[in-house]
Amino acid sequence: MTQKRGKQKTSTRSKPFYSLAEVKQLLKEGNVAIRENARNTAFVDFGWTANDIIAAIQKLKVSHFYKSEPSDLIENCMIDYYKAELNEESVYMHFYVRENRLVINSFKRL
Amino acid sequence: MYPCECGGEYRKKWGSLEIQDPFIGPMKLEDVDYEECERCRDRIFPLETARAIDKQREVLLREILNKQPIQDFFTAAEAAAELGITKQALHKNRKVRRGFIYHTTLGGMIFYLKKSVVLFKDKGDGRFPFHQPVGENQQQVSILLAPSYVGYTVHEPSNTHNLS
Repeated sequence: MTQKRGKQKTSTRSKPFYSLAEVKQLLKEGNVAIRENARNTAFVDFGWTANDIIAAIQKLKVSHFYKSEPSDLIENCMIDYYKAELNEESVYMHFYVRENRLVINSFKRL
Repeated sequence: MYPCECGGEYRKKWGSLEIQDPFIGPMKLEDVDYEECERCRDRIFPLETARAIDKQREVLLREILNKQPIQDFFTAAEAAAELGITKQALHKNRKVRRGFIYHTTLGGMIFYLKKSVVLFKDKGDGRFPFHQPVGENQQQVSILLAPSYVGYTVHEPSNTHNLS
């Protein structure tokens, strides 16, 4: 999965930019990285480890999708945002895919 | 190379990694992969490194708790009584299971750190930082943990006992 999937819209999208099936496949393959800040907030807010974060994203459904926007700060990068009730917690997260790797940008309590 | 939100770029690194855990304090891992923004120092951890950090945190926390005197702990029954719930409810509590009350196991029994139980009762989160950077009027301890912790203090400035 790359950024080269047609012209990106410059505004918010109502559908995920990255398909959840592809995101989950990347998780399965271990092609995932977590920002230090996301790791810390997941642990502080929920007591969750990296494995818990991965397990939570595996449970995401399209109905949890919130918005998709181009990053203000990273050029040519779309970021998908999700809000979900997972493992009895209200979770807010966003991530993007770059060079065939899922980068979990933020993961915290809603 | 990955672009960073600050406008800088993450660069791949391998080797020694120092991180500041919100509760344990500084931790050091050796021989790990990570990416660090050359400008803002923000870091991205591959999954294996993130798992290694979690494991290290678990080990260090166990070491810290196992060095606390036994009188600083409640049994499960005492902790449950303090919280006003049943023992079963304590064991099943989602947050407790997630480590929101510091606990350790001895001889197959779980013991809960008193201070953590009281904090949990008050705030819903019994975790507290064990260390903070040395400031003025604070006592240095050389302590409890790994050599990388030298130069940090026990969280309570009023503590007058040297724990080393």
